[in-house]
Amino acid sequence: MNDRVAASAPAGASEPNRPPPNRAGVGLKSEHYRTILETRPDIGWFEVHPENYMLEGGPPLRYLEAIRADYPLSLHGVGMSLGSCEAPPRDHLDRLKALVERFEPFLVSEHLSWSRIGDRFLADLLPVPLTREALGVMADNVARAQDHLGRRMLIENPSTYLRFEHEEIPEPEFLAELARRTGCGLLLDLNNLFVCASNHGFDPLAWLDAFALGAVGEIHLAGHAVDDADGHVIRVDDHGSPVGEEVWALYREVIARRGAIPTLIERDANLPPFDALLEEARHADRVAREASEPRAEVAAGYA
Amino acid sequence: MTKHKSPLTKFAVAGALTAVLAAAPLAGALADDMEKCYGVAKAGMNDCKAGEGTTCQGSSTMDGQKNAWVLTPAGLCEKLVGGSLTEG
Amino acid sequence: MQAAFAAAMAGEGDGAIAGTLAGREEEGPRARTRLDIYRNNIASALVRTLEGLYPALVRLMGRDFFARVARDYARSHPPAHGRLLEYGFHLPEFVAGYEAASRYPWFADVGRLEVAWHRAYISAEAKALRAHDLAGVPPARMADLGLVLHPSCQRLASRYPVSRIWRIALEDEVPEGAIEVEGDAEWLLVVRPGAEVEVRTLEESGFAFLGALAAGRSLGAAYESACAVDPDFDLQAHLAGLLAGETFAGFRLDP
Repeated sequence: MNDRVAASAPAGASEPNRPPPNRAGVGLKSEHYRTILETRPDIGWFEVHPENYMLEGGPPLRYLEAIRADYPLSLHGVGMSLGSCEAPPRDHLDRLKALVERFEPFLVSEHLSWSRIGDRFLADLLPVPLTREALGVMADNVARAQDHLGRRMLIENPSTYLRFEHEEIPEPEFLAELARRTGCGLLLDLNNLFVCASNHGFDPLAWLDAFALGAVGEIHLAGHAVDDADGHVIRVDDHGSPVGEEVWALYREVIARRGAIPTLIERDANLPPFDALLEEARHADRVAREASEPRAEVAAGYA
Repeated sequence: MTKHKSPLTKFAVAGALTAVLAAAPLAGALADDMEKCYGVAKAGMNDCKAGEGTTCQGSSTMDGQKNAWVLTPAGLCEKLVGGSLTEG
Repeated sequence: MQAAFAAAMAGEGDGAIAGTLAGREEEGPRARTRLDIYRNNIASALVRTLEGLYPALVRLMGRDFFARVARDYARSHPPAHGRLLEYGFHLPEFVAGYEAASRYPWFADVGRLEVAWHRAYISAEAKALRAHDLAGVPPARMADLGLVLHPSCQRLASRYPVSRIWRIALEDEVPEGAIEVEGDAEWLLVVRPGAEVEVRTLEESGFAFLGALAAGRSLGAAYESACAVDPDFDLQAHLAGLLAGETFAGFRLDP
């Protein structure tokens, strides 16, 4: 199935402003706007949450425009609530489409999650029960959004802190089927995978075995917090520290299986100076280079 | 648009605006430093991270206890003094 | 399921959703603890949003008290959409009725000034009207002229020296001891003609003048409104100041 998904909708193939950079980028934070404009760092690309730029005007759009002039951009949504029973609101799609037309991102992504019920927005990425019914709802909403935007989206595996009893489909199969039904790509968040594997007690490598790696158009890397909940370890996706060693190990594994993929360093809390994020992005580029090489070395060794 | 009645008003407005136009400079060059071009870089409010990383910090079931002692404002407001601040 | 989850998030009871969660409690955190993580995420996202919108109120109230007010506000005024840069504009009215803050009646107006600043910050861009753009208006028609305010313009009248308090609150240095706040009622114009938001103090008559123009009335009618407040209203000085200050974005001259 992996190959079929990849063949029917190659990542980034029809997007404007190709080629998608097969290297690391970082999440663009307002605290770093000036440093970036003043130093023009050598980095693959930037990513923003479009909700922070759904404005009529003002400094955020001025900065984004100036930075976009020099770097590829990815729009990573957090407000569409594709897992809600209702369809995504028309005005949200219109606003996103306007940003897509203005900034020509090479990727547009959202989450396997919900945040909205009626006219109430719950400001978090809430877990979707992995049932056949939810898959149908999610697929309808992704298809609607892609039709409205006139382009393919990537859907991300979320961090979760609970699961539902009546779930019917394992998460990797759920996402693969979503990609198959809608033609969407997948955003593989390896920190979220590690957080979920720890919180719910499964093997992340087995999860990856079942995952449609061929449909992945982007990887997210981030740090998380380790906390205590009723005497049990719980990992919380707070984006508040550098990428952890376990997540780097998963990254090596995925690159070895799939080759280089646009990769994002996410950092939203305890924000360090821009140079620290730049260094993490360079580390990701090094890891990706090394991880795609050993195959050749092994082959040479056997020859 | 509201029509005014007073010829005095009409006269006063014409006089004032004519004087303003006569004195107005042509559009001057704007400074082009970063503050002038882009403004203050205020943080976005949406993100996709979880809370501050602890299960009880700020949670709605716990904050009543955690913040029970914060009964009154305890910031700069206590130090501000001035005639009109205390009335009403 | 989503209604039950939302009810749990709103603090209306975990019962309906807790029964649908997987995993036996002895093998992991309790259902309530797991739901607390999401409650915490939502509450902290909204408190962080409000802290970003009201930096002066945070300094004036102190971080902890502000967080308490913000959490109470978020519970009674949850966001209606996912664009958090447009969330929380009604906090000043909420603060005005907040019992524990009643000793500080000017909190609400400081909050209103912060909302005005923020609205100007995210408003549409527009090229400012310059004096020479009006050069073609015949003198006989000048009193009929309508001046269109720049889309970033926000007006605020307060019984308190609200912009002075606001500036003091945002200063990096906090002096020892009492801080004297000079001044009385204020009439403010907040505008962002370019990239920078500016907070300007007006006279009451100038405020009335601008209010009439904002309501779509002609220059002549606006002048009369201003004179009703202050018979010595200096039209020429005000017009020159407002035009130089890039307060307008266009004009209308109905035939």
